[in-house]
Amino acid sequence: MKVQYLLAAVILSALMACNSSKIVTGEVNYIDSQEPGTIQVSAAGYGATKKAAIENAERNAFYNLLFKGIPGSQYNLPMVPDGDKAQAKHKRYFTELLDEAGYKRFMMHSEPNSAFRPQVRSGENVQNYLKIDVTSLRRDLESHQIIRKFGY
Amino acid sequence: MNNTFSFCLSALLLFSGKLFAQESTPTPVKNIQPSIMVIPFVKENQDMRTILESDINLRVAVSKVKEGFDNRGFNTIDFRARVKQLNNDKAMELENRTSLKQEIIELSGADIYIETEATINRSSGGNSVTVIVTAYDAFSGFSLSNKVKTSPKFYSENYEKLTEKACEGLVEEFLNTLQSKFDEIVQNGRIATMSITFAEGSTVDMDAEVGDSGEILSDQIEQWLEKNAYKGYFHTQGVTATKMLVDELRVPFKDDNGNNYRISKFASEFRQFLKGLGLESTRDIQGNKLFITIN
Repeated sequence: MKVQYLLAAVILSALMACNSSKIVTGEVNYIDSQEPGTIQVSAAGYGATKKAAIENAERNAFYNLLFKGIPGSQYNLPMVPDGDKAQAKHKRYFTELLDEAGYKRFMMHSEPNSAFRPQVRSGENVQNYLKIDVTSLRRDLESHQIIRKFGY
Repeated sequence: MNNTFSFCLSALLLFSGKLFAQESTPTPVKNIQPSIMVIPFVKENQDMRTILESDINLRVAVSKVKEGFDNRGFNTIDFRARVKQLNNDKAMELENRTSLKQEIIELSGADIYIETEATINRSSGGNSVTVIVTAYDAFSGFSLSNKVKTSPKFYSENYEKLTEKACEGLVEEFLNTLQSKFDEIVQNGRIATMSITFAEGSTVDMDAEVGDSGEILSDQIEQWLEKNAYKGYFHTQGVTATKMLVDELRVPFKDDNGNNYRISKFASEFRQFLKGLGLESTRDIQGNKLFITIN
């Protein structure tokens, strides 16, 4: 019986670890954008391991930039208008970009700015600093016809 | 042998099918882009060109806005070049400078003009520059995007640098808002305006009962617009016996064949409608501004 419980717990935690990278929260805060075409943010990450938590923070930052906008920054409007429709229409692109870490192509810097706290259940496990090349990201979205080029 | 023959035949058919398929694929029609001109903000009775040429900060702000468009791969009409190109000397003689601004906008052919303003703020705590940019639809006068940003305060007299600081982030945000308006236009149709007036000596007016229905002309026009404006969207600014002004009229972005929709097509359909009521008319088109004169 004990073994069964242990096995269930292991499977459950493994599943949670897999899923944690997909947790989306609005905990992405604008820091600065000194260099034109870039943005620096701090994002909260959740995960059973440090690597998973950092990846979740990175994904979270890109998700917010693409579909929600980052308040207080020049990118306060979402880069992809009508995100649900775009995600359904370009599923392959967004799977590659967000779930298969394709966003790393547009990441200029990523570094945890807090210690990893695996024991925290209610709050985030890590805070991650990120610098994103928004100009390249926009060009990529344009070239894949996810968003239109400037104009009509 | 038979298998090889079948394979070759299938491959040939597949290839030719692909070829035909390629031939039948319609070439996407490129959207006609709006022409945009960045102009300096001027107060009443001020001359735009003189202001721009005498104010380095304003020139920096205008250049920064233009640079933002360039970075997005979008060309703008150069204000100074266009003013020089126009018979400006004659225009400069006009006493009313506000009408000069309107004249430059109209003669430039710009669909959208962007007013840029840079103001120096001096204080004991340091100096700063405030930049204001506003985009207007040249035909309807609708404001499309507005942004204000003030640079951080520095103990510096280098106002050009402060202007650059104020423009940081401002232009990007401004363009993002403008793009969201463009998206909305693509979704809900282009904005046009329509002015309907009567020629001198015309025997009818807006209150005349025309056609078989017995309804007055203005009501019939509004009913027609309800059916023919894109998604039924139009707004009438006012109706008098002699004039009807539709200050917002949405026309489709593309026609049924996927080509760019021309405002002249809308004018033609409207004139046909008037003809059906037994009314002859003439039309003038300026950009997205439509003038109908009923004879």
